[in-house]
Amino acid sequence: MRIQPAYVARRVAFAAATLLAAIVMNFLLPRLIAGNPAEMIASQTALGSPEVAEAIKKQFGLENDSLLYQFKQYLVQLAHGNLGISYFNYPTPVSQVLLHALPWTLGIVLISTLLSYAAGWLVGIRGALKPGTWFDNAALAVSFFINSVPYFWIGILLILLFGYKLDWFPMGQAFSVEYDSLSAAGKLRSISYHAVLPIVSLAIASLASHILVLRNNLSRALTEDYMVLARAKGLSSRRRTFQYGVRNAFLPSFTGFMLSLGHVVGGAITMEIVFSYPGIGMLTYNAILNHDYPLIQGAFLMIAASIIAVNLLADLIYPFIDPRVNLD
Amino acid sequence: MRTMRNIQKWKKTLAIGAVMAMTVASLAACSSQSKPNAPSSGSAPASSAAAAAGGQTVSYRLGDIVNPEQTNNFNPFLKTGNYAPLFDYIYNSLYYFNPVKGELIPRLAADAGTWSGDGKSFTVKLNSQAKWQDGEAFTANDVVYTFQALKEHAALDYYRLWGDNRLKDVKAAGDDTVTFELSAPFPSLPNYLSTVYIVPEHLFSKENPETFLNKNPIGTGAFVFQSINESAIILKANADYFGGAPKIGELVIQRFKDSPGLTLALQKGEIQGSTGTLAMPSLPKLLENKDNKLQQYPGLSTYAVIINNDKPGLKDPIVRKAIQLAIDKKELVEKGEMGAATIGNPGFLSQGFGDLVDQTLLDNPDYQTNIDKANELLTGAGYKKNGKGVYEKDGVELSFVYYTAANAPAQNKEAAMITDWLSKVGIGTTIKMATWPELTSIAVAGNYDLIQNGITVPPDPQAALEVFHSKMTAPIGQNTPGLNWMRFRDDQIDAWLDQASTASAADRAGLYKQIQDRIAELAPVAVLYTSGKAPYSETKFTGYDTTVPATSALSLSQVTPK
Repeated sequence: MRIQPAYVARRVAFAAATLLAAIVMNFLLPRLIAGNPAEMIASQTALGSPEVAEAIKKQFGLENDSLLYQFKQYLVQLAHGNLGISYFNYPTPVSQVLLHALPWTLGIVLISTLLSYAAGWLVGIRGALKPGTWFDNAALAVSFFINSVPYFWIGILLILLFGYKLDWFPMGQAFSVEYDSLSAAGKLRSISYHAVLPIVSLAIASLASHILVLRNNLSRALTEDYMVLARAKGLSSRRRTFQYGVRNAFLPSFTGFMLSLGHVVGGAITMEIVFSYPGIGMLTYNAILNHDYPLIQGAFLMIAASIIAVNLLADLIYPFIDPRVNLD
Repeated sequence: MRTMRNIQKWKKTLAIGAVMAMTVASLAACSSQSKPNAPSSGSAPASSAAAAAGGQTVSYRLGDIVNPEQTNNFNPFLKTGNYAPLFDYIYNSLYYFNPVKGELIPRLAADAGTWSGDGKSFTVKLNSQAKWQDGEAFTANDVVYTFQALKEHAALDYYRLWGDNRLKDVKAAGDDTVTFELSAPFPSLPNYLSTVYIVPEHLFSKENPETFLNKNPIGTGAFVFQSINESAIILKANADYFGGAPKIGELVIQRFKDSPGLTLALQKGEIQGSTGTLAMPSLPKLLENKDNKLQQYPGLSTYAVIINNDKPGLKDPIVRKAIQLAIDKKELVEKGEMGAATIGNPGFLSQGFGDLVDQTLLDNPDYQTNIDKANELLTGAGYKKNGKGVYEKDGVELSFVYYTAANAPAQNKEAAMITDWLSKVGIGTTIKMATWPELTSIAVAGNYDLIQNGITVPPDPQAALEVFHSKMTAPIGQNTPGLNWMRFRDDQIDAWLDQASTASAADRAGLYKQIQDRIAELAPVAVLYTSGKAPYSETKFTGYDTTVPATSALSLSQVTPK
């Protein structure tokens, strides 16, 4: 299998154009929120002192109201790999603020995404191969139930049961408050222990859709004409199921999986609130509430770039999974 | 054979699980925040309040919502990027404003201070026992440096202490006396001195106070900063504290993202107190444990239905008065705030300001709930009910958008109660929800009819009443320069406030009463309640000082393990 250079060039150009559009939107969107951050801070903290508002504006580089001027500044900064200074973390650079929160988000959301897809696919395949059995029926019923309850409900339920009543796991936070005085192994244990409930809750919450998508796709694939042909050719049941059935049924799930990977960087705000967990989600949410333009822009740019990068990667991998794509 | 295969499968599963756990741990471990004073080794206490005996550190755990952007700096000059309540434990100001009794308690000042005869000079003798946590001596130069820094950096002078007719100079007279010279009499000065934490000159003078992150804060307070991470801020007792060494060894401020999580931790006994954050619907459950207490005091935050006095319909004082009369504040406090709030003064000044509050307004029948009277007032003023049961006059229907906070169950419940009462006096409302910062943003810009929100004032009665000064407002569409979000203007109140700003204590008291009476009468805002509270637990600790907030530094420095 050889990948077509024209195909690669098209995908890369599309990714670059999307990134450019994201940068422009990224600049404009935060500014559509009414209110000037400097005036907001002055009004809330300084009895509205105009002198303080002016001084804060100067501090934040907002003394020039022209959008064009601010956009130019933004592009120049970006060209230098500089995401600016966060207003509410002043004078810490945005990149530093984001990098500080990113590992927590990556750790929890990535693992829960992988776990959830792995478990969802296994259950989905088994359900499709043995339709109508008690396993399939139970999996469907549980999936529909989980799909219909909001995430925070699952999170709170796990906290109340395993954190409050049974006291098996901590009710929140990323590690114990004694963390600083623990040994390296103790720190590792503390982080892992505190990560259990957030990971499990996120995995459970997204599990249902993975089960349903793969089960339904595989059920359909198994009834296709090519499956009958494969059987007529005398191919083994295992080969028919996995190389013909699962491989075809897997395509939409693979797209979903790659999209989920792109969203890993965006974090999970509700999980972070429910479990008092540090991460990008809350950081972005608070940045929006605080009108912290540079941080909003930095966070959105990072999220957009990661989604675009993972999508590009998916586009490049796709011809290997589905050779028809490369012929476009 | 099958058993062997099963064991192998389990081993694989366990191995994958272990790898995943290690991944999250190692990814996250790289991210743990800096810990300047963190102990390099040693075992942690097994429980939050370990026994004092046996050499283990007695650790008191306090909970609060501390977001990541609040841990960027520990510079008390800055209003953003830090968790302000932390400064109470590490630093001191010259005076502490006690919101429980509305009084000033000398901290770094040795006494109440002395005014010159013309009211243009205020001399403060300093507390000779105080010293910096790094062992350096605390002197008058530190105080002078702190106030001079506000003068040199306008962005830090939030209350414009160096503004017109205020501070002219701050001078040291020897090591233990500071004199504040004023351009004009400014009797509120001591109150404002309680808003400025004194910083060490020997550390801050080397830095730019506008950008200094002060990652290793050194103060004169009861607790010494130890470390910070994503779960907690850890402070240890200051053995040399001039108020006497705290009886707890460690104060841990556990970080939460929301009030339900914090309240559950309080209920479970994981934390022993909170600086005020609490999920009100969980209060009855929390207080089922007799050791859990809720200290309640007036405080400086007044919750109100903020009325836009510039909007058609709401311009009319009769309509505002009808809104005021429709609201049953007692029921609101009982059902909405679970009894954990103080009924508000129709004249706005919080009861935390003690004798200056016009107490007669609280029982005055003119300001008690009275639906019939509200209807009479409106019909008497020519309003007539339309087909929808809503009053209207000259084509203006008394139908308004009512903003309340999103994700705040108690506020939403109260909004439902209030809008129901308003419908009974023929005032229609459409409820809209917005986040807390959005509510402030909308209020500042004036794009609203009615907002249910809190107004927090500095610890100064003059500033609290100046909320209603016309200089603190702006037309709709422009941000107000002050807290007069109501767009209220009254020449009489302006004149009285200007007169009070330089008047003697006795004259001010009289003027403040007149101002409160006029505010109550013109109803620019419908005051609901004031809300100062500190939940705390006596399960493991005792000796809280409830003459000040129970979880303040002054109280926690007295707390002892049971």
